[in-house]
Amino acid sequence: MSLPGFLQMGRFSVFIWAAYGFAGLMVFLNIVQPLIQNRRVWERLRRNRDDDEEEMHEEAE
Amino acid sequence: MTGGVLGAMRAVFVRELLVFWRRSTEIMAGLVFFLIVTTLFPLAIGPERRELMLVAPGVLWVAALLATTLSLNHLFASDYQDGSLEQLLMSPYPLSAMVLAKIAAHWVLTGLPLALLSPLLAIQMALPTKAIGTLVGSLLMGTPTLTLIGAIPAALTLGVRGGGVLVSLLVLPLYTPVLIFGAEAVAASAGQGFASVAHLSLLGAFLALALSFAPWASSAALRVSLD
Amino acid sequence: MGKFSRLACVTRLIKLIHKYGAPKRFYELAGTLTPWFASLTTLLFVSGLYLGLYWAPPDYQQGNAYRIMFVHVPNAWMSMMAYVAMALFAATGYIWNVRLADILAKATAPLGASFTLTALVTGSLWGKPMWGTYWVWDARLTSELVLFFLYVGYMALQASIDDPRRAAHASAILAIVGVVNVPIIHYSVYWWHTLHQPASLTLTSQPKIYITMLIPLIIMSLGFMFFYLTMLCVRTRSEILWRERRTDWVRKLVESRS
Repeated sequence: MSLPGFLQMGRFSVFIWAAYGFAGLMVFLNIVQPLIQNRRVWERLRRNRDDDEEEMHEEAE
Repeated sequence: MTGGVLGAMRAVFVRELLVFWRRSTEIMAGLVFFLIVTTLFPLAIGPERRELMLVAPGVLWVAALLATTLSLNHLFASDYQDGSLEQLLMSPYPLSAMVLAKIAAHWVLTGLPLALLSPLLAIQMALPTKAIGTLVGSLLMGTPTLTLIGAIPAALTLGVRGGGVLVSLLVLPLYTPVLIFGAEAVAASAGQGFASVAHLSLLGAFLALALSFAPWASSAALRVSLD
Repeated sequence: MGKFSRLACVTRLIKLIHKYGAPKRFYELAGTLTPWFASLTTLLFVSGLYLGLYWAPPDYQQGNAYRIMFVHVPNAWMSMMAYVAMALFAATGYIWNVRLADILAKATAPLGASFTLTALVTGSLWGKPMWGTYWVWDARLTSELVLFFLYVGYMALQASIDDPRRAAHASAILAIVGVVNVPIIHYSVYWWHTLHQPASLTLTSQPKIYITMLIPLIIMSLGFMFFYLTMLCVRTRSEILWRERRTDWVRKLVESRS
């Protein structure tokens, strides 16, 4: 990438950066949310394994 | 067999009319809502006849649509609670025919009075006299479509928490075509656009489509909800 | 009669396969596919952004603003494709009682809703420099908005029913009704729009697409498609684990991972 190219990108209007920023934010949220959910599922599965005797206690999601 | 089905349908229809009639406050709720909303609008917009005329088709149609949505909650709810829906499910006749009879009865007591009351409110909203016929016609064709489509979410949300709000969330996007052409037909015959015949015939097409599709879909939904 | 019973046989077979084989096997398959999909998505996004923001020259009519197209159009496409995919999954799950299809439909909904929201927001951000307004009641914008409400309704219905099977079947009916309605809604709004809007504001007569625009557009579209597939795998995997928590294979998996 050359310097003039970068300068050209600096001249993009705020609308372009807002649009790309929003799309990027949505992609980010779409990645983070399922990963958190996945971790939560694993935690619950481990907890269920630990108190396997009273296993019917899981609350529905 | 066909006679049997028709007989059963008539029995369901008459029973529904009687049951709904005994709970007449619920029928009145939709009508009163329609009346109040269309009375509030001139108060908010101002008594200028020209401005009122401009928004009249939209206001009347939106008010009719919301009134229909309000009444959807009573379509299956009480029969679900007292168990008579399960009886209907076990009857030897096709469930979709029974559901159609129920919807028809519901419309006769909610949509039909609404359409018949609308000329009064049209005068209130300064709608030109030549458009009143189109208004009644569009409501006569539009409200049964709304009730038919609305029966599907009403059946899906039976016994679900927050059912009432959920029904309006599910049903309003599905109502957009009917609203567009209903209001457009009235606006057209009030003299701000094209001939209203095209819009009315599209409303008729929606009604035909809903008649063939909705009873079947809402009986499938009832089966899921009562499973 | 013979044809009918063969159909019933096939249906039963599909039922058997999916009831007992699929969730576990799909869990493993998705597990191996996810890193591949993820790296492909990254590659496509990086090269698409480079080509779209840096390599492609400014348009002589729109200047640089047309570059919003590279995020707007793929999201709009994906919002519709995801809805059709969701309805197909839901219908498969409803008709043949395939649990995996139920899960896939449920996992598609939030992704589709986010594609729709992104398409709406980037579209209005594109509209402001182009037509001088954030929002017009254009056919495409309006039907995209209605599509968003359909997604939200689907997710609300899913969330309000506790029993997973009933939730899947009820929302499947809603998705099928919605997919019948989407074209009707679109054409209604389109006709309404052509009757209403002055001809000066036609959004259909967009400037000609040049090859320098087309290449980044295709790459970004593929990027969003693989992004969908990646996140579908991730979401489906955790949903499968939770729903199958009482089965032996999940117990063994948890055992080996802790």
